[in-house]
Amino acid sequence: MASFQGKPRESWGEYLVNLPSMFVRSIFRHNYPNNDVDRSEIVFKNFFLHFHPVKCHKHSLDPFYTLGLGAITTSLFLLLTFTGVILMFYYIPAEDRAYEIMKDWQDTTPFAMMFRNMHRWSAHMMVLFVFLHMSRVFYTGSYKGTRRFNWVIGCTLMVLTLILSFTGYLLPWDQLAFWAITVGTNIAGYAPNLPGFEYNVNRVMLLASTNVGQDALIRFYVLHVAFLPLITGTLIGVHFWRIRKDGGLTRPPDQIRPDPLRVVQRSDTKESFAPGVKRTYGLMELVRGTCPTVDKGPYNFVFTWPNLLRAELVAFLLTTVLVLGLSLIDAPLEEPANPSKPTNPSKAPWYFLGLQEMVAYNAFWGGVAIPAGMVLGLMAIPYLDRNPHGEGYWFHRSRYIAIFLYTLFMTWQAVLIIIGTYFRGANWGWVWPWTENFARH
Amino acid sequence: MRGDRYQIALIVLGIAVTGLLGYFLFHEIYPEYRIYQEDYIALEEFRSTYTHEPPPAFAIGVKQIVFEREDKGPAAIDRCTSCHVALQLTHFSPTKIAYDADGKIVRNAEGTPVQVPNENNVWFKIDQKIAALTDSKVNEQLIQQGDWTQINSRKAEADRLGSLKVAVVDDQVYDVTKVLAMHPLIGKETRPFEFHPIDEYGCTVCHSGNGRGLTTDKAHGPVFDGQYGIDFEGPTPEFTEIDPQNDPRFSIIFNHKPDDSLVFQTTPILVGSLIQSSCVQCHKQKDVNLPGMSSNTPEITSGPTKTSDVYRLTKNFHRGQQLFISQACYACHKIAGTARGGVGPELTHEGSTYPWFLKESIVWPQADLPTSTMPNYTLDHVELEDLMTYLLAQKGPTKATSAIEYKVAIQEWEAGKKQPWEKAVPPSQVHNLRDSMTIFATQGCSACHRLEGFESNVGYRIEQNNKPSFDALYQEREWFKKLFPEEIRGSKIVKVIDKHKDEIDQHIVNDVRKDSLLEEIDAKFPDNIESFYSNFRFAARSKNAYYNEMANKATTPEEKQKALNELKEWQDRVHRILYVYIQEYGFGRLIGPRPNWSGVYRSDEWLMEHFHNPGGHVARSIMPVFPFDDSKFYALTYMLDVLGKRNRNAVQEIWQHKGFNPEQAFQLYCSQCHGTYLQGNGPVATWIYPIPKNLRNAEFLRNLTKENARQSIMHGVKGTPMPPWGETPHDKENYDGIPVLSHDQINKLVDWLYRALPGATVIKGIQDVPKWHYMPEDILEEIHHEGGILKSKPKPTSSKLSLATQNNHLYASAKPLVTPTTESITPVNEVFDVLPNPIKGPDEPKQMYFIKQEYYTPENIQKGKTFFAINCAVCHGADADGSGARAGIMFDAKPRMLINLDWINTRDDLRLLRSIKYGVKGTAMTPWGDFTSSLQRLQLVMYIRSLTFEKERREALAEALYQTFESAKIKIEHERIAEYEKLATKQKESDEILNQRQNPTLNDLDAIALFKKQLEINAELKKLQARDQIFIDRKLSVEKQQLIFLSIGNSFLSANVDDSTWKSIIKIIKNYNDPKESNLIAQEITQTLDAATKKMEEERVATQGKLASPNRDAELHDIDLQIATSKRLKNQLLSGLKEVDVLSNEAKENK
Repeated sequence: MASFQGKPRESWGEYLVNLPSMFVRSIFRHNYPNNDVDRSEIVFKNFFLHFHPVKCHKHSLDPFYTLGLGAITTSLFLLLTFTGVILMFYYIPAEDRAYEIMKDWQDTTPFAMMFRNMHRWSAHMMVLFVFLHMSRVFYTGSYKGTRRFNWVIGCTLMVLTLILSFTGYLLPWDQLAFWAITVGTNIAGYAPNLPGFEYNVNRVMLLASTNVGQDALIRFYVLHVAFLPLITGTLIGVHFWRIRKDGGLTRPPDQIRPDPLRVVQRSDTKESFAPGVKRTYGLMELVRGTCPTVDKGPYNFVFTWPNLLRAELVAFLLTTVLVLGLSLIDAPLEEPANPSKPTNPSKAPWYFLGLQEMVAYNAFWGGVAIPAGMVLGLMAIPYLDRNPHGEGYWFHRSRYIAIFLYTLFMTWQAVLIIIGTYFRGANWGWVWPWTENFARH
Repeated sequence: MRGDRYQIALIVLGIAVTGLLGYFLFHEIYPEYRIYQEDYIALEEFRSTYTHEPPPAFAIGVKQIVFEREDKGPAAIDRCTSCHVALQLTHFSPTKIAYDADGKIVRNAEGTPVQVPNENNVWFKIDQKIAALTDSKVNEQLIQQGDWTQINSRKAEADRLGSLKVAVVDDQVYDVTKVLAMHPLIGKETRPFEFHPIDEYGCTVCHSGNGRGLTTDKAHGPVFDGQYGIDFEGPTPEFTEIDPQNDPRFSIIFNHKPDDSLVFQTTPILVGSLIQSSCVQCHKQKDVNLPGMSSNTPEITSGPTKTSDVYRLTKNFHRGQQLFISQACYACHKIAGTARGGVGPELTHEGSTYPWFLKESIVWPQADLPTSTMPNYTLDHVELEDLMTYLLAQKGPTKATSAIEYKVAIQEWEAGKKQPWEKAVPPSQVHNLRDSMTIFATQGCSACHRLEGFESNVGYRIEQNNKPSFDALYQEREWFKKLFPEEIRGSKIVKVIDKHKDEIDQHIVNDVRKDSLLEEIDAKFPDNIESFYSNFRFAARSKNAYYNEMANKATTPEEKQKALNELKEWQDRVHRILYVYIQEYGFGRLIGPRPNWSGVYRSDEWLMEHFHNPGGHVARSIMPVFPFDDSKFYALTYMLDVLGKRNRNAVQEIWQHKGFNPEQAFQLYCSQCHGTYLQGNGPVATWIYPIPKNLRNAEFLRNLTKENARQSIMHGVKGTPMPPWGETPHDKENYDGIPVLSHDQINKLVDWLYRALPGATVIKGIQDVPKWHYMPEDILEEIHHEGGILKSKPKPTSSKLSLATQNNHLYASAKPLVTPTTESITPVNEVFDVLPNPIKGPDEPKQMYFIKQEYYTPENIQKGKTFFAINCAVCHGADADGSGARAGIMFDAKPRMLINLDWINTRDDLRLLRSIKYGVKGTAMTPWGDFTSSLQRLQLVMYIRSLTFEKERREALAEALYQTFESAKIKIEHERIAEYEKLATKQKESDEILNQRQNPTLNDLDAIALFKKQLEINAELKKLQARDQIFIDRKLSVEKQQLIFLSIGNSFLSANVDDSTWKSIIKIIKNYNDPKESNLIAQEITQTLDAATKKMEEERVATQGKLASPNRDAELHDIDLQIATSKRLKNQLLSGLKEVDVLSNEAKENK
C-alpha cells in the first residue's frame, strides 16, 4: 500500500466517493457549523464573515438596545450599491441624454421602475437612518472610552452619506434635480472665496463650472458612482473593524461576573491585568503572565453563527421590506431641466432644507459657519464629554445635560427642516401648508 | 426564547420580501396594456362570429411596431399600438369612405373624401347584439317558457359584451371605444396614414407623449381634467362663463395642473387642434403679411386665405399666429425670429411646457407669478385653443428649416431684419384713417384699449332711409344701451335677445351703410373682431346644441332646414348686436384707459413719447413699447387726433341737445377708472397706478376742496393716467381749442360730485381748510419760532443764515426741540424762488414757490435723506418710488411715487410742504406737522427734489432735442408726404402698364406704344424717386445731428457739470440753427471749462508739492481724471459742433 505522509492511498472508489465533500471543503474551509468548532471556524475562516467576532455578547443581540440601526444603515448601503450598479448599466451622464434615458428606461425595462424607486428610497432612508443611528449611539453613551475615534469616523460617514445623496440628486437631470443642485451648490458658494478668484472657488470646484451644466453632471456622476462609494465603503469597513477592536458593542458591565481583565501595561518584564477586556478571543492577549479567566468560558457570550448573523439577516430583510414597500411610491421624474425656468421656490433636498432655512437668514453664517461648526462640534463630542458614566445605558441619569443638549440640537434641526419643507413658499416666504399656495410649477 | 423571536421575524420578513417582489413581478408579467389587449382579442373573437373570419392569431402579446432607422441608429419603438391596436383597422371606424356607383371615391369640394356611417363597425355590431340579447319581448317569452338558464346566459353575455366597452385600470374607467378606434383621415388621403405611415412616423411625432410607456399615465398621462386629481384647489377667479352644452370640447381640457400623483410623470399628449403644433415642426409655413406695410415690402395681403392642404390642416395654428399679433402678445414676449418683446417671459421654447401650464398662464397670469403684470384678456376657448396651438409649436429650430437656414434667419432677425408689422407705413398712408384703424384693430392696440369711432354696415333701421333727426337716433341709442349695457355678460346677452328678439330685429338691421371698416377688417382678418368679445362668442354659440338637436330630430328635410335657418338667424342677430355694440362703446378690450379723446387733450408730442416710452409720462404703465416704425406711430397719433375730435363733437352734440348732465358725463368719461359707483374701481383701474381716487371718500374730497378738484380735472394729474380734460395742446394740425370738457362743464361736474357728499351744505372752499393757506411766510416764521436754522451754500458775502444747525433729532417726536432765536424772520424771497404759475386759471394759485438752489447743500440733503429713510420709506419706498413695505396693504390710495418727474414738476415746493405738514386727508398720508419741525420738512423737500435732478436734466435734454430736431424731421416728413402722392400715382401707372404689357393678346403696335409710354413714366418716376431720396437724406442728416447733440448732452450729463454750463448746452441745442449764436455760447462753455482745467492744474501743482503718501496719489489721480474729463468735454463739444456745421451746410447745398 502506497502511502503518503502516513496516510494510506485511497482507492479510486474511495476517491470518487470523497470527491464531492473534498470539492466543498476546497471552497469552504470548515464543515457545516453544527458544532462549536465549526461555528467558530466559519467566522474565522470565511472571508465574508471574518470581520465578525467569533463570539459576541448576548447584550449586543438585544434588538431593543441597538434597534438594529447600524445594521439597517449598512443594509441600505448594500441595497444602494446593488441597485446603483444596475442603474449604471443604463445611465449616460450627458446633459442631453440623461433625462430621456432615465425616462425611457424606467418605462420600458422590466423592474426598472422598481430599481429606481429602491435606489431613491434607500438613499433617503439612509440619510434618515444615519441620523437615527447616531442618536442611538449618543443616547447610549457608546462614543466614550476606547470608542471615541469610531464616533469621529461615524460622523465622517454621515457627511459622506449626505454628499453621496446630494451628488446623486442631480443625475436624473430634471427640474427637481437641477434646481435642488443649484440651490445646494449656491450654499457651498457662501463659503469665503480664495482671494484673487473671480467666482467662488468652492462652488466652481463642485460644479466644474460657474453654473450647473454638463461639467457639473459628469463631476457629480464620478463622485457619486466611484469616488464617494469607495471612500464610504472603506470607511464603513474601518468603522466595523474598530467595533471589534474596541471590544464589540457597548454594554453595561456584567452584574454577575465582571468582565475579564486585560493587559493594561505592556513591557517585556511584567504584564498586569485590569478589568476591561471585553473580548475573550484573540491572539493579542495570548501573552505571558497570569490570566484570571483560565478554565472558564466567557460569560454571556454566544457564537456569532447563527445568533448575530441571523440578527443581521433580520435587519437586512426588514430594510428590504421597508424599501420595497416605499418603492410602491414612484420616484419623481419632473420636467427636463430648464435653466431658463427656475422653480419658485427652488428647494434643496430635504436633508439640506435646514441649511437652506438658515441660509435664508444669513448666507455665510447659515450656509457655512454654522454647518461647519455643527459637523466639527459633533465630531468633538467624545473629546468634550468628560462624564465617564452611562456607557451602554439608554439615557443614563448622569448624562441629563448632554442628552438635553443633543435632543435640543436635533429637534432644532428637525424643526428647521420641517419649516423648510412645508412652510416655505414662493420667494422663501412663509406659507401655511394647508393654504394651498405652494409653488405651482 | 430570544433565538426563536429572531426565527419568527426571519420567516415573517422573508414572506414579506417575497410578497413584495411578487407584486412587482406580477406587474411586469401582467402590465396595464394587457387589459386593453384582452379586450381587443375578445372583440376580434366577437367579430369573427359575424364575419366568420378567424380572429387574428395573437399568441403572446399584441404586435408592437419597431421602426428601424435608415441610419442604423437605435430602433425607435412606438408602442402606442399596444393599446391603440385598432388604429388602422377599418372595422373599428364609425365611418367609412363613400364610393359612388363606379367604385370611385366620393370627394367634397375641397377634395377630401366623403365619409358615411360604417355598418360593419364592431361597436355598432356590439350595440346591436346587446340590444338583441336584452330584447324585452324575447326575454318575456323566455320567462314564460321558464328557460332560466338561457335568460341568465343571455344576460351574462350582454354584460360581457357591455363590459368590453370600458376598461377599468386602477380606479380609472377608460372608454375603450375611443382607445380602440381607427384613426381618422388626415387631409385628403383615402386611408389613414397614407401620407404618414404609422410604421414610419409612429404616434409621438404628432401626439407627443412618451411612446415607450406601457401604462396610461406613463405613455401620455392625463388628457382630460376629469381623469386626474387637481393640484390647486384654492379659489380661482372666474374667467369665462360656462355652458357645458355649447362650449367647445376644449373648454373641459387642460384646465388644471394634475396633482402630485401624476404631475410631470409623462409628456402630456396633444389632442384636438393642439396636434397642429406638431405639423409645423416639419411643414414649412409662410409668413403672414399684415396691412400697412411700406411700399418696399411685399404687397399688402389679407389674412390666411391659402387653400393648400397643409395650410388648411394647420388653420388653428395660423389663427394662433394672427392672435399672437392681434392680442399684442408680441409686444411683451420674445420669440426668436418673430417677436422682440422683452417684458414677459421668452416664449421661444414655450412648446416644451405643459399645455395646462400654458392655458393657466394665459387665463390667469398671476396664478404662477403673483407679481405678473400681464392682464387677463378673458379669451374665449376658441381663441385659447388657437393661441395654445401656436405657442406649443414654439420649439426653437424645427425640421421644416435646415439648421443653417434657421441660424441665418435668427441672425438676420437679431441684426434687425424687420417683421411685417415693424415696417414703415408708406407716407401716403400716414393720414389714411382706415389703414390706421385697421392697424389699431389688428396689431395689438385693441387688445387693451377700447376706441370709439369704428363704423359697420349694421345700424338702426331709421338710419337706412334718410338722415334721422338727432332725437330719433338718440332714442334708438338709449334703447340699445339700456338693453345692452357695456359690461354685459354673455349669458345676459342670451337672455336679452331671447326676450327682445322681435324688437331687436325691428330696430337693428344689416346694410345700413356700405363698405364700412368693420366689414373690411372682418373680411381680411376673419374672427379678429370676435376675439375681443368673449361674451358675444358665448352668446353666438349658445343655441348650437339646441338647434342642432332639433335638426337631428327633424323628420322631414324642411323641418331640418328650418332649424338650421333659425340657428343661422340667431348667429346673425348676435353678430348685428355685436357690431352695434362696437359702434356704441368702442372697438377693443377695456383693460387700458379709453383713448377716445386722447387726441384732444394730449399733445402729439405727448402721444409720440407715450408710444416710445409709456412709463415716461404715466408712472408704472404696463403698456409695452410696440416695435413699430415711427411712421406707424405718426399714423396712430393722427388717427387719435381725428377720432378724438370726432368723439368729442359727438358728445358735445348730445350736451347741446339735451343739456349737460354731470352724472352722464361722469359715467362717460370718469367711470372707466373711478368706477360706476365712484369707488375708484372701474374696469380700467386694475392696472392703473396710482389707484384711481375713491370719490366716495368724503374726507379726502372735503379737504381737497372744490377748487383743487376742478384744477385736477381741468389739468389732469401729470404723471398719472388722469388726463387734463380741460386742456387743448397747440401742436395739432387743425387746432380748434375746444376741450373735451369746458370750464363750465367741469364746474358742474365738481358741484355734482360734492353734492353727493355727506354734509354737502357745509363744505367750504379753499379758504377754510388750513392746509391751503399755509404760506411760505408761515414756514419761515415757524423756523424762527422753532429755532431752526436753514443753512445755505457758503456765499462770498457773509450770510446771517450760516450758523450751525441745532436740530439733530431724526426720529419723529411729538415735540420738536424749541429754542427760539432772537434773530428776525428771513424774508420769503431769500429762501424761495417765487415764480408765476405757468398754468393760468381761476382756481390755480398765482405763484409757485421753490426753495432756492443755494440751500441744496449736501448737509441739508443728507439730513432729508436720513429723515426720509427712517420715517417715510416705509410707505414711499427706499427709492421713493412708492413701493414701500406698507404700500401693499393700502387699497384706497397708494403712496405717491415721488420720483415721478411729470407729477413732481407740477407740484411746487409749497404744495409738498403743505402735504407733509397737513397730510392728505382720506389717505394713509398722516399730518406730519406735529412730528416734524419746519426745517426738517424743508430738508425733506430738498431731498425729494434732489432725487430727480439728473432725471430732470435728462428730460430737459430730451425735450430740447425733440423740439429742435423732431419738429424738423416732422416738417421734412410732411413735405415728403406732399410730394409722395405724385410718386405713388406714377408708380401705380407704371404698374398698370407693366400689367398691360404682360397681356399675351397684345398686338405689336400697341406693345411698342406701351413700351414707349413706360419709358417715359420710368424717367419721370426716377426723377420723383430722386426727389424723394433727397427728403430721406435730409431726414437722415437731421437724425445724425441729433445723435451728435445727444452724445454731447449725455457726456455733460454724466460729468455732472454745474447748472449754468448745463443751461448753456441746452441753449446750444435750441439754437442749433443759428451757428453764430451757438458758437458764442460754446466759446463761453469752453472758457468755463478752460478755467476749471487751469484751476485744477494749479491744484495739481500744489498737491504735487505735498509729501508723498497714498492719500496724495489718490488726490492726484482724482485731479487728473477731472482735468481729462473737462478736456474731453471741450474736445467733444468743439468737434461735435464742427461736424454739425458740415452736415447742415451739406443740407443747405442739397436744398
